[in-house]
Parts: sequence; structure tokens; C-alpha cells
Amino acid sequence: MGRDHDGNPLLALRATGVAALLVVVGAVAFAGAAFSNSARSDWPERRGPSRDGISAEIGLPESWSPDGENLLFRAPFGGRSTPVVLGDRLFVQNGVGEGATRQERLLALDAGTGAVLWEVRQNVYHSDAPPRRVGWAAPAVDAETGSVFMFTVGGQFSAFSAEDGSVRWTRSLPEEIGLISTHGGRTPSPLLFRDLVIVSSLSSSWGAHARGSQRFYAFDKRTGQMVWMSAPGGRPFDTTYAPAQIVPIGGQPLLLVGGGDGAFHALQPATGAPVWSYPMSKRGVNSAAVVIGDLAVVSHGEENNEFSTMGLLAGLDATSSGEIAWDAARWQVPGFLGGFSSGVTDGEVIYQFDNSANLHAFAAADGAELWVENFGTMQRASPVLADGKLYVGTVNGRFLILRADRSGVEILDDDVIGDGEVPDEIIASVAISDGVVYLVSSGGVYAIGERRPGPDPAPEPAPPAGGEAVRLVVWPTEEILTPGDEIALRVEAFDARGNPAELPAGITWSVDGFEGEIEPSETGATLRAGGSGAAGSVTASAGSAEGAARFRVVPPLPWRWDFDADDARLPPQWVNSTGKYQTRELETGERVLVKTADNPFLRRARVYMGPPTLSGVRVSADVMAAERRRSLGNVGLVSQRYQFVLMGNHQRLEIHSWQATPGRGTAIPFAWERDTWYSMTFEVVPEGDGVVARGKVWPRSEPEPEEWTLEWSEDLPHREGTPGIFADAVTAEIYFDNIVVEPGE
Amino acid sequence: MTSRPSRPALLLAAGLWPFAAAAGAQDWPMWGGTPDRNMVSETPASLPAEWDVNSGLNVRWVAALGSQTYGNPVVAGGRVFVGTNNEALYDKEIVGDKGILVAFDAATGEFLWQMVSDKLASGRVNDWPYQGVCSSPLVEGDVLYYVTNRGEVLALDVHGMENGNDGPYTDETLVSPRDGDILWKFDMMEEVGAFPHNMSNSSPVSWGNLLFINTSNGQDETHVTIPSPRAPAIIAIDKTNGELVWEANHVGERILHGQWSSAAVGEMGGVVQVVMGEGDGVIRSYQWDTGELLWSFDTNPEDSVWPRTRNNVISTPVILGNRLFIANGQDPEHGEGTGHLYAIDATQRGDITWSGRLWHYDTIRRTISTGAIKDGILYLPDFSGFLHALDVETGEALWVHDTFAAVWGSPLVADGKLYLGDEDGDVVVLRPGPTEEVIAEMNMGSSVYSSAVPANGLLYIASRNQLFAIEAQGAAGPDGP
Repeated sequence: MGRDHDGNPLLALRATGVAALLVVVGAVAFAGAAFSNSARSDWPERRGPSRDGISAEIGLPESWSPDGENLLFRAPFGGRSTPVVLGDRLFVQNGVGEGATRQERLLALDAGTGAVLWEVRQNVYHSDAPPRRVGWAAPAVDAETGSVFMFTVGGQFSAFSAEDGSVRWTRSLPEEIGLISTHGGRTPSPLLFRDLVIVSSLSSSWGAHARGSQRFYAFDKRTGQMVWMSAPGGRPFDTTYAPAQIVPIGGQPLLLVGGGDGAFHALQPATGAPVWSYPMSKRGVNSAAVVIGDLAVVSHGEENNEFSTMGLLAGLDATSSGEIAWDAARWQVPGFLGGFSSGVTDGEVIYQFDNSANLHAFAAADGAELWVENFGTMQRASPVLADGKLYVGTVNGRFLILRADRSGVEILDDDVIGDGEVPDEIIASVAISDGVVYLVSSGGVYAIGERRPGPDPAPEPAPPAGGEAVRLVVWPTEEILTPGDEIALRVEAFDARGNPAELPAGITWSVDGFEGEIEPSETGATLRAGGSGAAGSVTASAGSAEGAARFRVVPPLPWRWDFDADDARLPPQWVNSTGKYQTRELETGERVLVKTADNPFLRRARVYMGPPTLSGVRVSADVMAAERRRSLGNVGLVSQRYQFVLMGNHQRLEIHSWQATPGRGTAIPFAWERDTWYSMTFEVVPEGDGVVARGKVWPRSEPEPEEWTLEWSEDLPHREGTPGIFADAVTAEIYFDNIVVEPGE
Repeated sequence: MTSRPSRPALLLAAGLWPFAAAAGAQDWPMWGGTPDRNMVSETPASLPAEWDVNSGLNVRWVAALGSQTYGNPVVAGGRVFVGTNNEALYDKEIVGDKGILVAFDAATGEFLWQMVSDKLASGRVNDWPYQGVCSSPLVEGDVLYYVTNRGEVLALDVHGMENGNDGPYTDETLVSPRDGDILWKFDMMEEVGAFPHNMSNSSPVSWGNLLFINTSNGQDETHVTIPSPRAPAIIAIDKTNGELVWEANHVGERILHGQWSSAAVGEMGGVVQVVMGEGDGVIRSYQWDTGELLWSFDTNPEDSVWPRTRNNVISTPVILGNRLFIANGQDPEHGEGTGHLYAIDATQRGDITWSGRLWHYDTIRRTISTGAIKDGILYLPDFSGFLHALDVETGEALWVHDTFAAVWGSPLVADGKLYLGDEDGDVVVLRPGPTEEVIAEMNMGSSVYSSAVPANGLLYIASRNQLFAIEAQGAAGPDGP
């Protein structure tokens, strides 16, 4: 503490001069041996081999020019996320195409020439993310498996062969676990820990996970099966994309990450178990911690919980456990708006940009501000410290090479990127590998320097011998089963510090919420699913150690729901219906499904009914909408990632798969009325190399028309997806009845 | 004000005198000071060129605001009113995110009362977290009009609850002498179906018995759909009773994002016109008493593409004689980009995009600021931090000043000085004229998103979290509440 919360001690220092000549500081990792997944001098993840924005490379360029000086190549692939490097390959994630052809892309480039080796493109669907925010996350690479991981702005998570781009596995997280992607587009980048690859998002699915929360998910990096899911935080205020770190603290690996709930969190990366949290802000946290020994320096640029000045930099004891009290920080700098750009450290000084492109230097020992220097008006990218220099771009297209120490900062090189009237935007941080600095701007990829072998990274520390097992992890979790399916469950044990422990003897198993038979095996158990239309969990216990996995049991098609039974309830296997829909008897005596309108925050909800791998499915239902405040809602059916929607206020009928991108759908004027039942039917069928999505809608009191009311063909089609329903109860309720899901013709 | 109608009996019964003294000669009772919204004060005054918020030099008083303040202060009848959020906790019992309209004593900075508005349950799509009240009030006599974060137009008693709970509206739940007193309420979401995008921020302006308000109707969170296309862009309300008089919705589904411009009113070509930027980047003019559309002017080049080069209009038009001056821009969240500034002949009718174009200045970047015109020079900053000084007759740039920080606020020209704040918290003081001359630059301690306001010899500047009253003489310490 020791600072005035109301004053702003930072800006007063703007006027202090900046020393010109500084001492070169060698770059080393200060968190002890970091958990790296890299076998070479790669840049495997967004924030580098040690996830701290530090490269051990030396002899890097002090100057360059976009026109040629020290420019290895320029490649015309603009983006907003940091590239990654595996061996001689550079991977860039960005958007490609316009309108009807807009997709998210992963590019593999030759790291020495920029030549395209391969690329994969994925459709975005069921997402509010706009076309320009595609390619938000950085990819990640894993040297052990030779995989490259891609987490799209719409929440599809996939592993590809780094060699040829072939798909190893893919998970449709919106459809499987109710992942929510927003207009903001903020998408965290994957990180690897041993056999796991970890991402996070907001989600709302079923059972205990129906509540909207930020959740972290760890997948087996080889199979894509989910190993654990964890929601360490409270109510999320924002979607966030804070870079995560994994560092050894006090004998245990800790995953450190800012949360959408305004707290900074430490989790066990092997189990997802929360270790400590530091609630600090009333908004989400998007910047990474700077770790020096057992000091974790965290920051945000939003409202503080405890006082009215925005922004904070705080030094925490990373060996803490439980909730760290607000005033238990070792030191705090209130008023530092470090909201987006993450800091780096040379072990003594923390260098971090605020949101307005002012670079600040803070003493790590006590948070004292040493100097501040202005470099523009808006900052998102984080600096990378390498070879005693900082490499960083500003949103206004200025790319800087700086030399900084506790006495000041010197500009070594200063270029504006972009060939148009308006400079390129630089949102991404650089990647550095084998002598080359890779910069992605909104206009292209710039490779600065000369390729030559870089230093080998420090080897990853071996896990210490485990103590007593206190926690079991049962996986895979969040699988969708068909009655009769058999699935092998694995169980692993961990000690209190999250290190692997010996599997305890006498594990007992229980099944809750669905019919299932368990047969213990050497590595876990075999689960045979029975019944139908259910959802629940399988729990393994040994003494006080416990772990559970969740399953949905979905019968084969057809599915029919008329909600007529007195005890009709929401089908438990549906994702994203609890709290948004209910069954109810109308004044007419009909029992129907209602999209409620009492909580405007949840007014739009798409229900995902089953596996994301279905195709050629026809969905039919009767629908009706009420009107209030000059507003009639929107109601529709979902099949194979296409949505067939009656738009109330617009008196329009639409088919779209990614409504936020004009061109990924079609619409016609269509007059329809409040308080009147309509029948809708919608199917997606193959047509040539593509698909055609086609739907009919008519007043329920009239006979079904012969002709399709609206059809939509796509050359970049969605070939699978789960059936569902969609409702936007803008201000008044929406009603469904007689839902039928069946194989199409 | 050209007319000052009497209020209905119910206000009289409530003890509110309808012919309350007009705002004091040196007040600044609305956004822009006058309905023409020109950010110039012609009142002779001795305003400070220098001050120091750390030492207290020339700082009469300083008052705590919430953590974010975008509404501009207005000064009338010895009170300063400003919108902010609830992080200052003026009432310790009322916690959590709220919209706050706060009244201070203009001479001392003493807190008088606050009007508290809960956040909308629908969340950020309609009411962005922690942005407080963004509307600048209009004060006429004893009544203050503003738009809450909930999309309500409120008429408040400037005395607050201290003189009792005046009506007709008497359903307030907070009724201490330190709370605001609602006289009437018009809920734009309920009454005309407005679906404000992210924030309702319109700063009211009046003519005759009418108030003119931008509904802020806009997109939903998909940023594709206008969920309430039947809601108007602009409404006129009878200021005596809060009843809707006319509404206009020429923009329909063409809203690019949201609608955050405020209206200006003035007599141009012999007709009193209400002019406002709408969500499609078009300026529309309405006959003040009927709402009839008089003309429209598209500020976007035909080949522009949203959001890269096509803009909406957030700035408020400035009226001078028969002309108005307006530039376009975007939500600050969208960053920087190209903008367009026009001088428009408001005597034309119909689509006057070409016929009414007096000049077009296209070297401005996107802007959300409103201009100041003084002695034939238009001063208008852009969001990239450049203050442009243009010949008002030709649109030629005389000079451009770089503030090196994003500018959200608008310039004020008063007492031979131009004041402009920026996101780094600096306020630059320049000498208005044909050449660039910086007099001084002072830092306020946190971002200045609002505009400086002159009144009764004091200069009021709101930073993100503090309100300063600055004077030309003296060195009173910052001893506000």
C-alpha cells in the first residue's frame, strides 16, 4: 500500500527525463525452471517457451526496416494473434475470406521464407463473434506429439498434425458444453502441460454447469478427450483472454491466470483444483502475471473492488492458498491501467504498458515507479524481452525496439507498419525463434533477423515424488453416450500439491443421474450406458479422495417432445436450457415449452439437444411469440449448425449459420403475427459437394405447403452439427410445442 | 430560450414556480451551453490559464466522482450537476454498480444530492458496466432534465428531496434530503420500445415546451440485428408533463451500431430545426414542433464500408447562422480510423448530401467530439488526438495540434483561451487564432473524457474520477468533500 488511492502518482512522473544510455540486461527466466513444452528453441505458445514473454535468444537485430533492412521476409497474412514456431515452421492463426467465404484459418509457413506449407480453414458457427475478430487466439504447438492446436473465436478446439495439417481431433465446444462466444471475440490461447492442453471460456450447459461461468478445460492432447473442467471463479463480468502461465511455486506447479470474475487465480494444472485467488476488480482481467521467484505481480485496468480509482498493479505471495485478502498484497500501485498488455521483467524491474501506450517501469521489490514514457494512444500487444531489448508494437502500427533498465528507456528502432494511409494495427505480440523476430500486424507477417540455431531451453523439471492421494481425476468427462455404449474410464490420483500420486487401493464407483453399469479395470473402469434421455455423473472414491466425470445419454433418432405430461420437464440431456426455458400450461390448456422473458440478460438461448456429429437431420416444431414494447421475438430451429429463424420485429425469415457475418445466410420478408401458432420444419441435406438447408413455415391451422419457404446452399458447408431450437425473447415470451427431430429424407 | 411555457397545475401544486429565473447570465445550463451547441462562451470572464491539481494552485475545490465519468458538468443556479458512476459511494448504504447524477454546490463543491439509477438487468448490451450516467443534463429554472443509464428521461427538482418529494412522480424509494427528486419520468424502453445499444447518453435540448432526445436505439449483442426497428431515433417530449409529442424513425434498420449523438436546435433559414446525427451516419433535420423531416445529409462516402471506413455520428452538430458543422466517427472501442467533417447549408430541403455541402474536410480522423466556432475558426479534435483549426468559410486547415493521446471530449473557447482534455489526463490551453500557440498544459491526475465548462468566473473540469473548480486567482487548497 502506501499510495494515495485518489491521486495518481504515475502521471506526475511523465515529465521526468529518460536516460539515454543503459545497461544491457540479459534475459533469463525468473520463475525458476519453467514448464516448457518445447524441445528446441521454439516459440510454442502465445507468451513463449516459459510463458513469460522472455526469449533466451541472443544477437537479435537492433534495427530493421519494413522495406528491407534485416527483413527476412514479409508474408501477406495479417492477423491479430501471436504466431508460434515449431522447428522450421511458423504457425499463424487468422481470418480468411469475406462474407460467404469468411472462415478462421491456421497457416503453416516456412519459418525461413514465409512460403505456405499448408493451411486449414474452419467455419465459425453459433457465435456472436464478428468477422473481423476471427483469429483472436494464438495457436500452440507441442513438440512431443508434433501437434498444433487451434481454438477458434467460435469455440471449436482442434489438434492438427504440424507436418501436414491433417486433423487429429476436434471438439465442438458450443454444442458439447454450451460454450458462449461473444461479440467481443476475446478468446484465450491454448497452453500445454505434460499430456494436457488447456483452454477456457464462458459456458452454460446442464446440471451443476447450467449456471453461466468461466470454466477451464483440460483435454488429453493426443485424443482430445476432456480430462477435467474447473470453474475456480465467481460470477463472470466479462469474457477474457488473459495469457496463462504455469510456474513451479513452493513445490507445486501452478497455473496462474486472470479471470472473467475480476480475480486472479492459481490452479493446479494437472487437476484444475483451485489453489488461491485474489479478487481485485469488478471487471474481467486480461493481462498476465509477472512472476519473480515467489512474487506474482498481477494487474488490471478496470474498477477496483476496494476504491474508486481504476487500475491496479499488485505484488502477491504466490505461495498463498485460499482467498488472498485485498490488503495482504506485498505492495500495490493503484491507478495503473494495465488492462490488456502484459508485463515482462528482467528480474529487477517490471516493464508494462498501460492501455494508452505509456510504458511504465516498476521496481519489483516494492512497486515503486521508476519512469514512464509515452509511445502512442492505444496498447494491446505485450512486449517481449530478448537479448536485452524489448520488442513491441502499438495499436497505431508503431513497432518499437527498445532498451530499458531502471533508469530509463532508449528507442533503438521505430517503424510504422503498413503501406496504406492508415497504419496497420498491431494487436499481437512477437514470437522469437532461431534468431528471428516474427511480427504479425493487421496487414502481414514480418520476419526480422537471420535464421540460425537458437539456444536450447531449460529442461522441464520432473514431477516430484507424489505424496498421499487426496484427489482423483476421472476421465474422459463431458462425453455423449448412446444407450448400450461402452466407454473406458481412466482414473488418476494426485497429492495435495497436484503432483501425481500412487492410485489408492479399493476405489469404489457410483453412477448418479443415469442408468449405467460400472466394471472396474486396472486403469479405471468400463462404463456401459443404459436408459435414455438422461444426464449424470460417475464418481470414483477412495477414502477422502474423490473424482467424477459427467455424461449425457442421448438415444438414437427420432426424438419427440410434446410436453403434455403433467410432470413434463426439460429433457435433462439438453444443453443450455435450464434457467432459460420451462414447461408450462397455457390459458388454452396446452402444455408447452416456454422461452421465458423475465430475465433480459438470458433473453437469447440456443438449446443443443445431442451429439455434434449428426447430419441430415430434420427438426420440426410448432412455435408462437408474444409481443410487448413494440417487440416480437425471434424463434427458430437448428440443424447441422444452420438456424432457420422467424424474425418478429423484422417480419423476416432467415437461414444462417453465423448471423454476425453477412453472406453466411439468406433472408426473405415474411409476415407473421403475434399470439398465433405456426408450424416450422427445417432440414439440411447434401447437394453436390455442398449442402442445402431448407425450411417451411406456415400457420398451424392451415395444411403444410408443398414448397420449401426458404432454401440456402453453401459451398463451404457445415457437414455436421447437433439439432436444437433457438429463441430470442426480446421482451416477450416464445412458445414451442410438438418438437420432432428425425432423420431427413 | 425563446419561449417559456407555464407548467401544469400539478407542478404549481407541488410548489415549483413555473417562471423560475432563467439560468444565470453566466451559467452553463446544458451540453454546449446553448441549444446551438457551439462550445464557446461569449461571457466576459477571467478564466485561468494555469493551475496545478497537486499543489492546489488556482484550484478552488475538488470533489470526488465515481471511477468513470463521461457526462459533462453543467452549472446553473449555484449548482453543478454531473453524471458519473457509484464508485464514490456518496451514500455508503447504496453499493454496487449504479448510474449517478450528482449535484454539488458550485461555489464550494459541497455534495448536495444524488439521483441513483440501478443498472438494467439486461446487462451491457443496453447498459455498459460502470459507465455511469453519460447524459449531460439540461437545467431550466428549478427543473433538470437528463437521460439515465436505463433509457429514462427524467425531470428532477434541482433542490432534490430537501424541499420534499414533489410530483407528480412520487414513487422514489430513496427519499432522504441527499436524494434526487423525480418530477416525471419517460421510460423510452417501455414507451417507445427503444433498445439502447450499450448506453443511453442523449443530452437533452429544448425549444418551446419540447425536449428533444436521442433514444439511443441500436443493435443487440449480435451486432447484426436491430431488435427494435419500430422504435424511433428521436423523440420530442412535452417538458411540462413528460408526454410524447412526436417521434421519428427514418433510420429504421440502417443503424450501423448505436445512436449516441445529441440534438442541436436553432433557427436556420427562418425555420426552427432540430438536427441530430443518427445511427446510419446521416444527419437529419426536423421541424421542431411537428417532427416533419426537413432534410438529410449522409456523412459517409458512398464507397465506405462499415466498420473500416463507414462511420456513425456521435458528435453533436454545431449551428452557426444558417449552417451546421458536424463530423463523424465511431465508438471509441473501435479504435482510430478515417473521419469526415462537413459544413452544411441547412436552408436546403430533401436529401442535401450534395446540394447542402458547403465544404468537406477529410483529413480528420474518427471523432466523437463537438466543435467550437469562434471568430471564423472551427476547432474540432479527433479521437486520434489531433485538434484541427479550420477556416469556417472554406474548411481549410489553419493548423493542427497533436495532443499525443486519445481525445473524447470537446474544446471550450472562453476568455481568449481554448481548453481541451485528453485520455492521458492532460488539459492543453491554446490561444484561439490563426496560428497554433500553446499557452500551457496541465495534468489532472486521470483521464479527461469530458469537456471544460465555464460558469460564473470558474472553470469546471471533470477527470475520470474527480471534479475540479478552477479559478484564475488564488491558491485555495483542494479541500472538497
